[in-house]
Amino acid sequence: MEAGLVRVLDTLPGMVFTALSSGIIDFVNKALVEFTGIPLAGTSGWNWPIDAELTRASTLSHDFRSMLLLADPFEMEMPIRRADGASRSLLVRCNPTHDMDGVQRWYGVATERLTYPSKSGDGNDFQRIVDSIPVPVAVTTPTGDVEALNNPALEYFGMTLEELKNWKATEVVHPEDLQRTIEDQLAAHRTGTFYNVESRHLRWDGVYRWHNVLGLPLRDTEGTILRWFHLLVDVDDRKRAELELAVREREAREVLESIPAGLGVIGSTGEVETINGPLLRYYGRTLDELREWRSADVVHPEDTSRMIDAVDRAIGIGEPYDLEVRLRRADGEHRWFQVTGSPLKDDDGRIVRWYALHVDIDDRKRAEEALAERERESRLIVDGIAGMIAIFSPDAKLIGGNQQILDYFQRPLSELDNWATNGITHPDDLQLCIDSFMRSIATGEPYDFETRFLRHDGVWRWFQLRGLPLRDADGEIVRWYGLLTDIDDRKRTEEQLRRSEAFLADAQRLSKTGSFSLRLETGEIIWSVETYRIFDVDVATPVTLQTVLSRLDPDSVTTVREVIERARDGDGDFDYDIKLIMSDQSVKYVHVLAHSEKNRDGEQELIGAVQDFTESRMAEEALNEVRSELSYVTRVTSLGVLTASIAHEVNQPLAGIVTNASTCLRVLATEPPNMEVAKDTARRMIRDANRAADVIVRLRALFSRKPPAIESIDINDVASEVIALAFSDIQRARVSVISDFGVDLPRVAGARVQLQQVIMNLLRNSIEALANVTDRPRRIHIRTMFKDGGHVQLSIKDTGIGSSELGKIFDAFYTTKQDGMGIGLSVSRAIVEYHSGRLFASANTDYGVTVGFSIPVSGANNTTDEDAPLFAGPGEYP
Amino acid sequence: MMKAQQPLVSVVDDDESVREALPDLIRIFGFDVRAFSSAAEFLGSEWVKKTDCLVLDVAMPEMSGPELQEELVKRGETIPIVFITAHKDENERIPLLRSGAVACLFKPFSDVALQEALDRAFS
Repeated sequence: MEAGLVRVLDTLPGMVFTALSSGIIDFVNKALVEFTGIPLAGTSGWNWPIDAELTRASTLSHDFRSMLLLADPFEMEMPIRRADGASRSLLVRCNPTHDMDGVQRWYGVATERLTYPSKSGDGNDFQRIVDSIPVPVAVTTPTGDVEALNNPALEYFGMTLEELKNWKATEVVHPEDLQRTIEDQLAAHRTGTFYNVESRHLRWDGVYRWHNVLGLPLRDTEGTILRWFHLLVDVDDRKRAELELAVREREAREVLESIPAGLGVIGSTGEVETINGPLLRYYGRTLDELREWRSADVVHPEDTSRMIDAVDRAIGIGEPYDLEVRLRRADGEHRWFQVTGSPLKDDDGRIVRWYALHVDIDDRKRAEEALAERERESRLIVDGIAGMIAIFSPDAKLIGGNQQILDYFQRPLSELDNWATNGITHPDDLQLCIDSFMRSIATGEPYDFETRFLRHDGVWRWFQLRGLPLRDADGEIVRWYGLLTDIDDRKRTEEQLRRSEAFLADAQRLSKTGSFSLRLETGEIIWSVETYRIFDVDVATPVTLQTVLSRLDPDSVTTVREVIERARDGDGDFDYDIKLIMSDQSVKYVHVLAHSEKNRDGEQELIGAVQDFTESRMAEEALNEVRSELSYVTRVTSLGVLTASIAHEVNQPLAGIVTNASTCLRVLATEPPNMEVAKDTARRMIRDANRAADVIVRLRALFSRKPPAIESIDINDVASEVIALAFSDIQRARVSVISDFGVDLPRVAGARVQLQQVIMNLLRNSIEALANVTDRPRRIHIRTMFKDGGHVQLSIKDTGIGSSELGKIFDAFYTTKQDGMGIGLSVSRAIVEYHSGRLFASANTDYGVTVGFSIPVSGANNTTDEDAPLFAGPGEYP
Repeated sequence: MMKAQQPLVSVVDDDESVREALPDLIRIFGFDVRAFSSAAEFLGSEWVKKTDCLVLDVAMPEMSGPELQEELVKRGETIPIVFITAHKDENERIPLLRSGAVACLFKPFSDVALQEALDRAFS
């Protein structure tokens, strides 16, 4: 130890020592050596001369060393034998000094414990007693003058006794506390009682520390105050904690006032202690008014009893409460609050008070009510809806369903929740179901898919499943509503439709008939596959009017444009032919049947079918060609045959005549003429000429001698056959033929083929008479009927150009037709008259003529001459 | 009054007028003449071998003129033939000429045309 320090320590007016953690007292100052009479000697350290029996001495010594092993200041009492042999008690106090490794050294002070001072105690004793008190102590006279200070006091203040005697003038007491301290002391002095004041005192290092100053009067036996003892107990830490707590409490109160929620503080028995500003302002009431909240009309009348019950019950059992009530705002409006009351308990678990937090949830409440209303409405819809409804929680649990779904499956809801495993979902659809549904649950996106569900009777039916999430005001999903629509019939219909579409497509392909639609307002055109094929356009190409027109020949373009214009103007039917020029310049003939009307959307639409009749057209043309060739050939051939036949028959006698004439001339030219031969040849010439005439007669007989087959015939059958035979002529001439046949007509006796020729003749004439008619319908009316007198009549009425000389039309060689021979009608007349019938003709009142014939029914008196020729040469006809 | 040295012309025709008229004219031309009403009658007669020229009708019942010609070829008879026919058809005439006929006359024919045909047959 430094010599300087030793000297200081030796100089100190107290007993001082130093010790090491090891328990060795390595230094004692002079005062301690003198007090104990034991010098510091040797290296084993100094030891306390403990004045006690051996066991206790050992314990004390051990305790002292143990304390040195620790690091906290300590004090202990030590019975000591003084140098003069007297027993004394020393209070040993030790403080450690620290270095980096821990306790470096202990410094200790030993003070003699004073017994209570005798009333005659001298100054030394008194000083010892005071010094033995381990806290600063000041001793003053009854008048307050400082008389003594103990060592701790001197050490604390770092001043001499003399300096401290003037403490009032100095600032050892904090200026803020000085006045109060003095007042309290004076009051105590006057009353002679103790005083207890808290004040700050200046420590030697300039720091004020709080002390509890306890002033006690020391009286003599008469009660006279001899001195005052002032004990300064350091309460700085406690005081600071208290101050800090006060700050915190103030802060807490500020927080209380500043939080935007209402807060009420309620006592343990339910009385209102305080209410924070926001809540007071909300109510617009004073605290006193609100103490009577149970009757002050601050809680909505419908909620008051519930609120009172909740609060009373909570206070009664000590459990928190939480309820939602409407509270009346200053302006009279009620708003929803959530009121939660929580008890504050002390360390013993007793309830000190209650804090009631009031949170305005009006907006949330209204949103909830709106949501509830929506749900209620949804529920109504759900039960009223004609489909099946399933309701799922946000985590995909089935939590509800309408009657329809229960009826379909006939299983309880709890079973339906296991739809993925209990077999009600078709195995082929299951994975799609799970994927689609769980994806929606995960993302919140609606779902829409189709699946089959097992009906209670074991039938699988197709359903469309569509699900939508129901969200609350914050956008959180509250429920999923799933709509299960039975689409089984639709599915089947779709299948049938698909099939019939396929059929139709096949039919269209087979018949080379396509279909189309044209929306006249938008120009949108839809084609069937076959139409694409006919027009030779790629199916993927969108069709425009231009696409159509680009394929048409110029005449067809005009036709189509006209049709579109007329279709645009109104409803109507169209029937026309167009000619397509394909990319390879080949030609297609297409027949179009179309109909124009308003569609379901109210738009004018042209819908129709197109038929490629190129092949039949070609065939027809080819056939026509063949037919005309054939007829020509036939005509020429038969004429040729006839001519040849006639020539052969006539040439034979002519040959005889010519030969005879030549012979005759030759024999007459001889000299003398051979008259016999000349006569013979002349006779033969006459005979041959007669023979030639006979040939002509025979020829005519050849053509006329075959009697026609007379049979019983139905005139309607005959007329029908003729119409069928003439069908292509009728069609080509664009004439409509109306047949109006009498029913149950009696049969007639006649030659079927000949009557057909008559009807055909009349019909042809009528068709030709209509050829140039454009201003009225080209119409032919064929009628059969029974006439009085046992006749059946057939008439043909046309709207043609008519004739001004009807009386002549059945005469031979009379014709109104430039290219006609006029033979037809006269032949018809011959045939009809052969049938004992009658031809007639009359002009119509408006246009055209009516021609016809009537013939007797079978069995009627028939005057037909079997030998009469059916045909007669024109000249011979009467 | 027949002269044995005169060539014999046989006429075969089913038409009586021709059979009556032709022999007189042919005799005037200076030929001996025999008439037959059918091919069968001619073939069955003694005169086939003696005939120097045949005036033959084309169209006859049963065996026609060309069939008779064919039959004669089969029998090795090479008699010159003048066909006569009432059927004026060039298409029939040409095959007949090709098959060896001297001429084919359409009825009615002139005396000059017949004389020329007979002259060709004997030239």
